Amino acid sequence: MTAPEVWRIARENARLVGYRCTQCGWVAFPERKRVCKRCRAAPADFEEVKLKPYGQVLSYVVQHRLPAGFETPLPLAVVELADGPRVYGHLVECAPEDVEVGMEVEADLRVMYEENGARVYSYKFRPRSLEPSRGGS
Amino acid sequence: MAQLVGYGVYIPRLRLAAAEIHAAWGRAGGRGEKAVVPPDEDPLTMGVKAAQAALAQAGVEGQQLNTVLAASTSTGYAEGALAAPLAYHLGAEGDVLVGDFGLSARSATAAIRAAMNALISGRGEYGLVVAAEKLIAEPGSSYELSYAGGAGALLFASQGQGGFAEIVGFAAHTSGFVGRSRREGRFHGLVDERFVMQQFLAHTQGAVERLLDTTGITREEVTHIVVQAPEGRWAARALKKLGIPPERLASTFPQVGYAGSASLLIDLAWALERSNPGDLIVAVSFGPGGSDALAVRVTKPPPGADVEAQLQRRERVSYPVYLRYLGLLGGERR
Ligand SMILES: [Zn+2]
Repeated sequence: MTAPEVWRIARENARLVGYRCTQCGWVAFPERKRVCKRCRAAPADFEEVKLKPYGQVLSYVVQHRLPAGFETPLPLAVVELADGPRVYGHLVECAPEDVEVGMEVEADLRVMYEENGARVYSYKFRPRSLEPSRGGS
Repeated sequence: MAQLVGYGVYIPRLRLAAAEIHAAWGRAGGRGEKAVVPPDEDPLTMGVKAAQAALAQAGVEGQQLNTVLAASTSTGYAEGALAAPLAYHLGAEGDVLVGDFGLSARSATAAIRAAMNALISGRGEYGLVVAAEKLIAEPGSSYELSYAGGAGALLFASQGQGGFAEIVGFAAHTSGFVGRSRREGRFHGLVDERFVMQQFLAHTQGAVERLLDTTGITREEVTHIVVQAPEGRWAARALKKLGIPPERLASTFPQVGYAGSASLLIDLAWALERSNPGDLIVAVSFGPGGSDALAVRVTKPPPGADVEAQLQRRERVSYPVYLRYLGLLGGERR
């Protein structure tokens, strides 16, 4: 089954849906907030936005010591999506030595882990390709 | 009939050379390579990417889908839907007809037929068909040389939505023949391949001949033919039997290998990418239960895609890494 905590943000996670503050434009992701983190509007009025599935690497680390089940060295990045939200994600299809701050990346749906016989999906990031048909809409 | 408005594929960029497999088992030679699905991808992730490519190409949003049908024999689940989560990831939910087609590598064509029927019967404007596979062969077996993974998608629209091609014929050749089969959680059982090949030839020929008979299409009119064959040399034999010249074959087998139901849609996409108005593409499936053949008439220049680009975008993996990625090496990673 889909665990409640997974289901709660499944929609946002599956479709990269965020919530934009109608006062100042700040975008909350993946969870809808009550208070806007930027303009402090409380309760803030949020509208749903479909996030663009790409952004830039803001910072990154390369993990060398991880428990069984992970491929190391594993680059992990803080990515600023084009619509503003910052997310933490694995980088795939990219050698650790090729990662750079400012690198353009796109969201890539992957299996994150398996729980009670069900796979749980989320986005990792990979170097952005400029082919028009990739990366979704 | 239903219009084709979009197509897309997802071919994993990791590739394993047949020569590497042969070398590991102390055999000489080996030509071509196959696509290797990384450990964090499965039929859902690949199917979503192929579908997104088809939607983006057509300029259609996921929410506009009324029907989403998925074919796969390798989700790994005995229960656990593919079509519904796929639709959901694309943005379609609520009044969306979903259907899962499986248990035979033939099922991509059944999904196409069902999507056409849904559109013809007035079920909305857009119907999506996705086939996605992650086939895993027993190490050392002959199937290991070809079993691969990937995904393909076709987006159909009801009459009046425009489109660059249409399905102009469909024929089935059904029998009780099973051939290759697989128990839950097991590898495919090894069967008499010479016999399976004879049945493959009989069923593909039966379906294509019925298609030509019922549509009045001649062999000379067929510009591209897609033959879903689990072995590299079988498609050429099928063409010989059908009396269609070998250069008409559209096959990604040398680069991708055999990706079950997905192979039919990947090869069809590759044929569409290289086709011109007036071309006629015939595609024939094969799996337990027989074959279906369909004819696609290209009416306008098909929009550009990245099938060739994905075939070229490749990174080699070694045999041990391949085994580890598919969970076949055993033990926890330390
Ligand atoms: Zn605000």
